[in-house]
Amino acid sequence: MDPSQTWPERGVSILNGMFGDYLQRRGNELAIDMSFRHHGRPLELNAANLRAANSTLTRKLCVLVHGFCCNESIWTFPATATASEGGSYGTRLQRDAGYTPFTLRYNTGLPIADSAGHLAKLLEDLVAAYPLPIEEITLIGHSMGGLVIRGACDPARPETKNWLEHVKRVIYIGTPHDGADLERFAHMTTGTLRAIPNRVTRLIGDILNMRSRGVKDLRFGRPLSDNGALSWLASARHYLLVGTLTKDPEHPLGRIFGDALVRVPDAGEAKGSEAAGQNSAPDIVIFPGVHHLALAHDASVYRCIRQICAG
Amino acid sequence: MEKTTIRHLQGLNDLIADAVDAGVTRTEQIHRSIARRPYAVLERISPMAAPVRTIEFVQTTITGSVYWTIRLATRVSGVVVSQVLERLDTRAS
Repeated sequence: MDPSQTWPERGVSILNGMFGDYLQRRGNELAIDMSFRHHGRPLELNAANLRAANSTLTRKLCVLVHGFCCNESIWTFPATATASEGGSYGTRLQRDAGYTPFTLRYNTGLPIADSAGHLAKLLEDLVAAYPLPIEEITLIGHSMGGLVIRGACDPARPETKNWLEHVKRVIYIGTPHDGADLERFAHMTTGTLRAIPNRVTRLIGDILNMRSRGVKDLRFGRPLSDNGALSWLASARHYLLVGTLTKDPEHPLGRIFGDALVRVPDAGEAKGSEAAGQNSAPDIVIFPGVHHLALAHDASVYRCIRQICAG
Repeated sequence: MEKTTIRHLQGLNDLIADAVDAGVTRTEQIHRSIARRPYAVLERISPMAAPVRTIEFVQTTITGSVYWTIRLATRVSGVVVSQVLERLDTRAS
């Protein structure tokens, strides 16, 4: 079994999500350093290692970035899938479309803007170390991972240099671009508990408030650039893949709860930037009956990704 | 035992020590503020003020030393576990 799928590794990722900024500040050994992973181990970026990790390197790269409190094992299809159906979106794209996949692991408790900066630097290192000329990079982010990608794609970012020109497609799966309601609720609850003049409620409020900066950033969604709201990277196509709990995406419960954590974005909101003169506004694809975590390893979602990457 | 597992155990040990320390400190603060209430009332009765202050001092010293002992025991056990893990780490490398 891949070490990333073991419970201790998953537990460490959950701890990083909840208290990752604290762990890093304290220099705790549990804090995860961002890196690409191969069979659960950090992949040092040099040509020899890249060749050793992938039997066949290609000119098309796809980078998968997991979401809050997860690690790269979230991309793995359930064990019930047959051998031909197994793997992850990355390995399936490698098999079906000739992509070379790279899966990232990072500390999801750090501020999203910091993770975005680290990713931009890491992609720069990957492009520099890659032994073949790169034709295209497809970025796939699940949940918070999509926000990290969006932040990394900010052309104004100093770490962003050569790799950005290769990015042709960005696929955001269940990404809360407009913020997550659950975190808004947690923020409101914390504020209320701390405002009540009672030691016990204040203590509970303080404990709740210990959650990481990463999860607190989910209240706002998309990272902000120096000039305010970050726009979509103009040189790439963007796709929002979202799920709903209900089979009917128009069902009121489906509209309210979305995939349980992220609501279906309003088409008008997503296309809003198009009206402002951008041609890179995202396409939205809805997957009825697919909940938030299942979006990271679902056959219908993969078929859609496959179609996007073929286009 | 693998090096990664040892590092994770080391981190978990530190995290538990931090959590116990913070939890004990916070509990002590709440304990003190609740225990202060009857003393504050009794201190207003002038003949009782002096003995009440003495009793409060004795009580806070005793409870303070209990909390201090818990913090010390946590730190000591943390250091012991840390030493064992460091030895295991040296053997693993």
